[in-house]
Amino acid sequence: MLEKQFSKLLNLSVPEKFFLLIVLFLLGVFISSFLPLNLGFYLGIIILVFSFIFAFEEFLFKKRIILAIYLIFFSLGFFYFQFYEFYQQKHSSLFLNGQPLSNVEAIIVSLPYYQEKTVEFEAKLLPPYQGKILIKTNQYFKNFQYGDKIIFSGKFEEPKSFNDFDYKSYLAKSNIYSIVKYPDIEIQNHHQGFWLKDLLYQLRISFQKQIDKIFKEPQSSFLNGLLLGDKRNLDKNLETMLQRTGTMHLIALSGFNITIITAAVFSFLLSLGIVRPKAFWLVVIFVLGFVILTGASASVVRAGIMGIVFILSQKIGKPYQIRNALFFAAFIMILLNPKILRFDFGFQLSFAATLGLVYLSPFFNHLFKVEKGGLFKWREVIATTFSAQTFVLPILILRFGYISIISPITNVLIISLIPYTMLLGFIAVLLSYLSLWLGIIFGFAAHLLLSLEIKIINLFGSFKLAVLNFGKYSELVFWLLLLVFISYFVYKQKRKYEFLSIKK
Amino acid sequence: MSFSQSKNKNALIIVGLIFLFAFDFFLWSFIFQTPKFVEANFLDVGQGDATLFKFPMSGQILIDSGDGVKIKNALANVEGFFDRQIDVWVLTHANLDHYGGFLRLIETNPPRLFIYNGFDADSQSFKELKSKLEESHIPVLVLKAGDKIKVGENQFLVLWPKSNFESKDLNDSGLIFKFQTLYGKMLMLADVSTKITNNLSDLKTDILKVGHHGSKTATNEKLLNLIQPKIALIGVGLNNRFGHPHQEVIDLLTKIGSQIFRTDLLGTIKIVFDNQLEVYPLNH
Repeated sequence: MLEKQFSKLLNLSVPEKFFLLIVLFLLGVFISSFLPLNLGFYLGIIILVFSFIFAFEEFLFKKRIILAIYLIFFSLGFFYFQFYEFYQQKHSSLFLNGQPLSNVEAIIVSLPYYQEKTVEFEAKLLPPYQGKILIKTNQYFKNFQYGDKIIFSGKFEEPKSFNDFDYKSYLAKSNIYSIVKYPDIEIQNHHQGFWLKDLLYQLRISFQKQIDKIFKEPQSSFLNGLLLGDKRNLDKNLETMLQRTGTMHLIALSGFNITIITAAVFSFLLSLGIVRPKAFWLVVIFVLGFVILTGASASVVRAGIMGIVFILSQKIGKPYQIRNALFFAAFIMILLNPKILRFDFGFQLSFAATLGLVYLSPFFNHLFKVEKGGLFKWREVIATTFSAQTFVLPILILRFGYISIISPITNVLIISLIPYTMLLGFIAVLLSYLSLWLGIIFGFAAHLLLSLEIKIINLFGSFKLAVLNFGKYSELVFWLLLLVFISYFVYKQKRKYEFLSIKK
Repeated sequence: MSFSQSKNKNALIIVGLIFLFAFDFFLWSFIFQTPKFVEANFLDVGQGDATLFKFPMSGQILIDSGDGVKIKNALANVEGFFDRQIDVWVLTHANLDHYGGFLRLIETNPPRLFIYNGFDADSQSFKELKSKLEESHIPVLVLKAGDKIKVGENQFLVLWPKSNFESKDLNDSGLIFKFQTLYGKMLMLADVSTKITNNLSDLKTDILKVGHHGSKTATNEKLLNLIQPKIALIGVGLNNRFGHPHQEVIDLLTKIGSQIFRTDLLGTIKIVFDNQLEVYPLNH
């Protein structure tokens, strides 16, 4: 039996081998992320050395090098996480915590987040110090921008977790190990960041200002979410309603929104008479720019990479395998920052949702008889919602303690309106650069759609039975669901295997 | 991708026609919607005050704007999509929970005129407001007791502060308005304390904007006896850290027979100055 499994592993096709290598690498990273730094670091080295010896031995005596390469990828993943964490901490501001420092120079490296009475932004310290920190200030009337060089005096503090929320890990995931609260800040210079990012962020800010001029609240912040994925200014009440109706993904810029935008840009380019091969490259450039412009959140980066893989596969005429594209995207993202695998909620949701689309949509498409069509393509929307949401469920339960059970209904009602809303909103904003009133008149159409969508969300969200609350059993339900998924997966694999062997 | 092009085109035309129809419908309803009587919308802006006055065929005045967090939602709730010009902003006194909303609105919806009491706050955010008003070339007007704002047959009488008044307490420098229409009167006490309001005269009105979010420093029995309000409005945020409105004030208002409308419990409150003097919560 074991021997059979072994030979199966050895005789995989190239894409299968590629897929397995990435899975093993990710597995290594994931396991490694649970170990404390010092222990993990040495353990990582030991495993890596061991697997190289094993590889060497395999290579010399058995010629089964592929097995050794699998092991090497796993241990590389394991070691990589430790190495990355070690390197980041070494070059961080961790050692400055607890100290008050004055006249520290830094450059703002994120989009400042203006809240009710505070502003937050990430800043990269300039020599003699190093590392990235989070600054929180009450000078919300000052105009902080990406790329500003600032000089400040304040106390470096270690981030503290609150209300069950692991704030420390949340920040550490972006390699931030210190917070400076309410320091004295002076802006010295503008435009000291990366020029392209600076340019795109300015474009984004200008775009948001136009949205704000055309639309009223809450439509304005809703459209902001649809087009730019910025949900931070959303009314708290509406945010709760979005969660209760399972529609948050719409305004968090998921792959869905990016697909719509990319398709729109592509057909626009074609309609301009640009030939396909050229349009491909323009779309790739556009996607890259859009990813940066929206602040490169995990779901956008994932969708962006997968989109580019899709475009490239079309170009070179190889079939696009969504599963491999997904794992390739995850691999790239984890090379850039292995910590997101365990600590980035957005990455986990986005990855799980797409994984669901890969593995579960055949099942749900069959279940809801998608080929029959129907009004608003409701069968397809429901099947897609179920496929995407199933793997997301355990993550949501663990994080929020509840899930939306009317999500399929609200999604069917709203999803088919979203592309039109985005398109009309986008055109209104473009027109408003010519004349504000032109934008407002055109924006009215988008306003009606936005109002309708918000009405639906508020209506369904206010139902008492909209959500299923697990309370203190959340963790138990999480593990149970995980167990169900894994056993289902194993069962399917086994059946596939038996089926194959009978065929032989 | 193999969907039929012509089917798509038809759908687009239908969607276009629907929008055109909706647009037409809206334009007409917009024309018929202009209020016949003066309206005051006492907005729910959390802990803070903001009141939007709408006059038939002659514009809008916003008195105070809350701290800014909820002003845009609150305004959108009482204005149509095309309705976006507020002509005059009035700031009763330079406290953040009264001018914060102006800071949020100034870039997207600047007014034509800004009115306040002439007492500047020392805070950075107030300086920011002043400099933005200057940048946008918005005229700033200072009003004192005895001045009037007339809009058609209606007028705002300024009862306070007197022109020689000096104080370090911004609250006590607040503009007090008595708003008079053919059908009713409304007294707006800003955040001014009873030290001052007890000495004012001719206060009797139907509707009272209770002073200082229902704080006991701004309301006492003597004052309420002078005003005799039938209706009391309190602009206050739910579970605010000041404990507003104070129970003593609620008791006094109940004792004198006033009907109390609180924004924390009822949301935005609409007052229509017609012959019945209607007052009702907008979203209930």
